[in-house]
Amino acid sequence: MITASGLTKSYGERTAVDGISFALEPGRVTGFLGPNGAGKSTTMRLAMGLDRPSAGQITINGRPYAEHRAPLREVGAVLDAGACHPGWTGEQQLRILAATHAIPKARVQEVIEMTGLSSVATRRIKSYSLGMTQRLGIAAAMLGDPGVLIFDEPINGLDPEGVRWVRQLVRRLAAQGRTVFISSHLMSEMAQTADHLIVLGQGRIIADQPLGDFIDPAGETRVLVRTEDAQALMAALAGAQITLVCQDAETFEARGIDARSIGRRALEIGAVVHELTPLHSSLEESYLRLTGNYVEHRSGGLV
Amino acid sequence: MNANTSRAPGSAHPDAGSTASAASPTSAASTGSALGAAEVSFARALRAEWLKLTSLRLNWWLSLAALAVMVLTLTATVFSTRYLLADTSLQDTEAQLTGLGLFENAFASFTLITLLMGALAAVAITTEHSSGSIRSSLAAVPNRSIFFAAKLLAVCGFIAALTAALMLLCFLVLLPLAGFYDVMPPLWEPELWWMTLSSAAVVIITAALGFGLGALLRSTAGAVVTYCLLLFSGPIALGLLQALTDFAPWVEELARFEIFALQRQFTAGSASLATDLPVPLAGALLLAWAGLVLIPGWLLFTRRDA
Repeated sequence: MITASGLTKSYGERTAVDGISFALEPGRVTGFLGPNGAGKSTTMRLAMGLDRPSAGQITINGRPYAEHRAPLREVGAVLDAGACHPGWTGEQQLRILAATHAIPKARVQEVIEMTGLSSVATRRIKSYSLGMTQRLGIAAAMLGDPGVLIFDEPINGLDPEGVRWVRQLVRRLAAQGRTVFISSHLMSEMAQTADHLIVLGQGRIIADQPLGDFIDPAGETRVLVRTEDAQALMAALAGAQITLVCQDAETFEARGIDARSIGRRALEIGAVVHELTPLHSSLEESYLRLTGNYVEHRSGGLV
Repeated sequence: MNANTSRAPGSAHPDAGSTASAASPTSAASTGSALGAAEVSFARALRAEWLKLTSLRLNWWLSLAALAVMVLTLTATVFSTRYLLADTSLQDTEAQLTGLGLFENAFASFTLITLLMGALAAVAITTEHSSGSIRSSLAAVPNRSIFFAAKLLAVCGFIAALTAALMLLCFLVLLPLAGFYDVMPPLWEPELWWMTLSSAAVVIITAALGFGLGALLRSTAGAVVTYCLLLFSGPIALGLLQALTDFAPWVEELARFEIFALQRQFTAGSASLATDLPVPLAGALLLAWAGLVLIPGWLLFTRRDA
């Protein structure tokens, strides 16, 4: 279990994490979302004792990270794919970490095989691709078979098979009762992986709720309509609360009215309807809607 | 904590029970191994640091460079001895002093080796920061004082082992050479052994200074350059001061506390000059130089964000 209480981290005048509090329960995957610079990585570094909080605290299984006597048995973390010396081999990196906890060589081999690194374990890390380095980071995190896992952008650089593997791994770890805390900017992955979401914006928590609750309340009714009489039906549906967005000659999207009402109206004017599909808000849409005001680094328009 | 044992009721997520992919996550979490992991201790942290040192190619290159310096010095000593002593017949005391001189000449190369070892010590800690491996290192050993002390001890141990090997090489070459020219130094008296041990201590203590600079500056270039400046700028600055002040007594006094001067005074042993500091004091001051950098380095290391 990870618990933060009034956690604050400032760098000079800038406050990266601003008095956040949360509790992550075992047995579920908690997704950690937020725009760039929102404070996600800082929070994870604070959890691992790499940075010192300016105020408040964050504990893992009731203690600050540094107070655990066998920290690799308590927490496994992938904070930075490049957190290893490029001159070592993957196996050397794991054996060095294992030596601190007297973890047997057999376990090192086990995590190497588990992460699919067997064929490159004796190669220097500098020759690894980003995906291989991510796998090595995951192997290091799993070395002590910990009950708490912290993954910061673990799927960056992974191929589709790797992404799927991480998704399944994360789900399985949570199913075994472990606490899994994962950040990612890939909303489609987060939607498939997380049970619960914490969303940060400018260092503050702007949402802390189950995934389902996060998506549905933020969404509004949308219906995709495909009809031979698009113009006529759009004219018939036009109203103060209804927004109609034309997609092509036969297709439009209606907001603010449900599919049954559209079907009834189409019948009244004799329009031939080929499709009436209720559209649900995606995690990405809900997320963008929620964090719109918290984005620090906004992209320019497309040329 | 065995991963085979469920910790809590599993989630109902669709992927939770899915089949493993190529790099099977099924085995990922449920290893079935007797993990047998123990708590972090100083000894285990030290072992990990030793593994790091011996895993890095750079350290072996620096060690080879030190060996090359010693081999060159010994080769030069062998050839120069051949020309200087070939037709000379020396009395007992003179012969013993000449024999000691052979070792003294060879040990003079440790000045250069000290530079290499200082760089090795500095890199041992700066490379953690430059590569980002400090994050995984501190994840494994979060007690920073234990980490710092283990790394320092491992570095000193590595340098001590290398220095011992180089000393052994000196003895293997110089003892037969001295015997051949009948200039064997007195092995039963302390001079030679003090010279040997104090020279090794000087290398280790001075390299520790490089380690402290690495911890302070976290930059390889910065630490190595500052280390060289500390060692060499003292004699240069004092030389200039002597010239400017016409060898004022206070400059002469100051010169005794400079690092190279302290090294010489410490290794001199019974051959100390009348103007030298007492040998134990010279040693203590050398340690103080190292402490002057190591202690702030340690304090900053334990307080700064990684």
